[in-house]
Amino acid sequence: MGMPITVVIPDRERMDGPPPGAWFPTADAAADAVFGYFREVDARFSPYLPESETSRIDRGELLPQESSSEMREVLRLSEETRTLTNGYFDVRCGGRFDPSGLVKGWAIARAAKILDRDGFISFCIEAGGDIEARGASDEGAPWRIGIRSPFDPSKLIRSISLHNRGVATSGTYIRGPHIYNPLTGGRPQEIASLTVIGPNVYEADRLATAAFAMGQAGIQFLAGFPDFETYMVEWSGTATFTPGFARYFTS
Amino acid sequence: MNNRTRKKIAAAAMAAGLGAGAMAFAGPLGIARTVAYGLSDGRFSGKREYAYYGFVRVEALVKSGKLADVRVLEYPNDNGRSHYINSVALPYLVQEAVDAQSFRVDVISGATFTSEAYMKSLQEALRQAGA
Repeated sequence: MGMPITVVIPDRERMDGPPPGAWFPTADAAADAVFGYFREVDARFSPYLPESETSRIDRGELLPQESSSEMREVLRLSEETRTLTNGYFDVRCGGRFDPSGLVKGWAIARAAKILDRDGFISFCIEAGGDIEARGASDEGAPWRIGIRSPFDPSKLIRSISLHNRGVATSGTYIRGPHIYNPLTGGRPQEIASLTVIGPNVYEADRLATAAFAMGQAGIQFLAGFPDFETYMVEWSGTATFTPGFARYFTS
Repeated sequence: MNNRTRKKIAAAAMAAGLGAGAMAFAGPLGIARTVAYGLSDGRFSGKREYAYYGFVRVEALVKSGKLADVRVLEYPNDNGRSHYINSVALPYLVQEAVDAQSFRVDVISGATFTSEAYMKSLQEALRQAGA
């Protein structure tokens, strides 16, 4: 499993006019700063690295209140998200600690702040399929974003156009076995993927993760949030979406 | 694309193909990497890995020192927790049939989530097989 990170910064002078001061970094330097930031986040939060804060908290070697300010912020946001989603989003479950489900969207949003600070208006940052799309692409149009098919990761099923929004997709490309809940005798997992457009990638990511956990009820849960649109794909091959999602379809 | 446009893609570790007996794994941001060769034959179960909405657990079948098959033993199932959902008025929703289409796009949104838990469980199974 890999997580490629893509940063696209169109030509600033052509897109956004000349920079307001000579001290503004070049697009190259700004992109390098963003990648440096993602490497710091990985070192601190990766559950795959034994010396990361995440691993040390998981093993009980580091108390949350003694962790870095970044980790404490993630813990605070995780708790807020757990409450917001009626417990569906929980970084502590089964005795393990893993905040990855929140960190990705949070880190992309923080990386976007680096580019904000550096005076960039138009850019696009993608990490592991979650995206913050600001301003316009180098064609001067909204960013065109493909939604990957859960049935074939090499194919797209829709294209959306985004401007100053975030998008995140939760789901799986592995169809689960037909496990039925022994308590309810219920149906097997039916949701293949859930794509959420929100005001920014952090909000879209955390709500997509929680709503995917809710199964078919997730789209109804999200329909209660103004400013969010949802596109749900079921293994049956049917997509269900909130009417406002259609506004973003690339014609 | 304008030659002053900056587009960078970080090096990505990707699965090299299950049948080939070589796998690559990465952390949330794609840095850690393990490659498995020369495994002990047998069946190896990975740890249960949490995927936020349930657990994923896989079993690796190793034949002739190579990863021959992966079986999913456990997979998230949401039904047990459905009663926690607030009752909300059923919103108006639209449906369409999903169809693969060709689009020219700048970037792609797609899921990585359960597949991460799957890879972690498989990594553990392969560690037991001597990777």
